[in-house]
Amino acid sequence: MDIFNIYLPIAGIQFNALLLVCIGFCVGVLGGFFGVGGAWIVTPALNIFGFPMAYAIGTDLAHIFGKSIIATKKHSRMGNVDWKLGLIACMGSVIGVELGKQLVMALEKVGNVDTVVRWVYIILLFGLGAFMFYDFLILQPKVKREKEKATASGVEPTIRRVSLSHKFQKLNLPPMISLPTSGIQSISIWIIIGIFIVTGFLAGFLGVGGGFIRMPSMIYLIGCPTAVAVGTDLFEVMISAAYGCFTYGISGRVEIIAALVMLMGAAIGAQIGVEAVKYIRGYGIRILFASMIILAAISVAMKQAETIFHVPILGTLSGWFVMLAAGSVTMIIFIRMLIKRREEKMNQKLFNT
Amino acid sequence: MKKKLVRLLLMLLFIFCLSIFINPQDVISGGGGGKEPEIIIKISTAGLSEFNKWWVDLYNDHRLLYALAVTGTMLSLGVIIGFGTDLILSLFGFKTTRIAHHE
Repeated sequence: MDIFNIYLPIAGIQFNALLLVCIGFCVGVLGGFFGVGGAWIVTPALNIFGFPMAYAIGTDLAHIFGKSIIATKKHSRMGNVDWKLGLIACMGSVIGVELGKQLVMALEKVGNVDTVVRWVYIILLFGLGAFMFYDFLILQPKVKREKEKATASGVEPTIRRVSLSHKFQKLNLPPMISLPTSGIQSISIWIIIGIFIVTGFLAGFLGVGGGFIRMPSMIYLIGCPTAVAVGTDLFEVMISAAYGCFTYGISGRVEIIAALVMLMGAAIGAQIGVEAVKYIRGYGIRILFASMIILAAISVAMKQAETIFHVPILGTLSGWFVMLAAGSVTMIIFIRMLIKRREEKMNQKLFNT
Repeated sequence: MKKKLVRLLLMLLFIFCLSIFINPQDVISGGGGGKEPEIIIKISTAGLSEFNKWWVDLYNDHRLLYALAVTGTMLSLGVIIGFGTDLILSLFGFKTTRIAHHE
C-alpha cells in the first residue's frame, strides 16, 4: 500500500492517496444523497489517520466546497434546489452561526466548551433520529389509517394536519411569500429567517456545516419535499464551505493536495448519491438519514465516555465507528439504487412487450 | 443557463459581503474568533518538487493569495467536474432530468 503514499507539503505528512479517495467517495455518496457536507465524518477520519485537527477541519471544508458545487449543480438540474428559499435561508444562517460562535467563545472563557458542546450533540442527534423514526413508524401510519378509514366510509378524506410545517405556514406575519419549487403557497419570510437563525446557531455552536440539522428542519418545519430539502441544503453547504475554505486558507490550515485527491473520490460519489435520490425517494431517504444520525450520536457518546472514564481507546473507536457507519450506509444506498434501477428496467421491458 | 450562473455568483458575493459585515475580524484573521495572536507557520521548501515548492512558497509568503488560490481551485474544479461529468454522461445516453415531487 506504500506505493499510494503521497507527501503533503502543507501538513508535512505522508498520506495514503487511496484512503483519501475512499473517504471522499463515501462522503460524496452521503452528501449527494442526504444533502449534508459530511464534516462530522471526514474531520475525525483525517484526524485519526494523522492530520492535525486544524488541518483536518480546513482540508475537509475545502473538499466539501468543491463537492457541494458538483452535487448542487446536479440537484438543480433535477429541479431539487429552491433558490428563493436558499437565498433567504442564507441570511438567517449567517446571523445564527455568528450567535452560536459567540456562545462558544463565552463557554471557552468559563472552560467547559468541549463537554457542553458534546452533550448538546448527543441530545440533538439522538432526539432528531428518534423523532424521524417516530414520524415514520407512528405518525405517518396514523395519517394513512385515517385516510383509508375516510375513503372506506365514502367521506371526502379530511386528514388532520398533524405536522408542524402546516402550523408554521398558517402563521400570518407579513411579508408572506410563496415557494413554488417547494410547493408552498404561502409562508412568512420571518418564519424562514427565524428557523434558519436557530439552525445556524446550532451549526455555529457545534462547529459544523449544519446540514444534518437544516435538512430535517426544511422537511418538518417549513414543509419542503425531501428531495428539495436535500438540494437546497446542498446549496447552503456550498456557501458555508466556501467561506470556511477561505478563512481556514488564510490561517494556512488547508492542505490543498489532500483536498484535491478527496474531491476526485467525492466527485464520483456525489454523482452516485444524487442519482440514488431518483430511485430511493421520500421516506427511504428519511429513514436512512435517521439511522445515520443515530449512529453518529453513538460515536459522539463514545467520545464523551472517553473523557468521563479516561479510556483513550474510546476516542479512536468512536472515529472508526463513524467511518464504518458511513461506509455501511454508503453501501446500502449503492445496493438499493442498483436493485431499484434493475426493477425499473425490467418493468420498462415488460411494458414495452 | 448563463443567467442562472450570474445569479449564483451574485448570491455568493452577497453572502460573502454579509459575513464580512457581521464579523470582519474573522475574514482577516482566519476564523476562530479568539483574541489571541495566531501561530504563523512557515514551511521549509528543501527537497520539494517544483510544483510543491510553488505551493509552499505561496503559502509562506502570500497567505491571502494562498487562500484565494485554494478557494479558486476548488471552485473551478467543482464547476469543471460538475459540467464535465454531465457532458460525459449525456454522451453515453444518461440524461439528468427534472423529477416530480410528491410525498
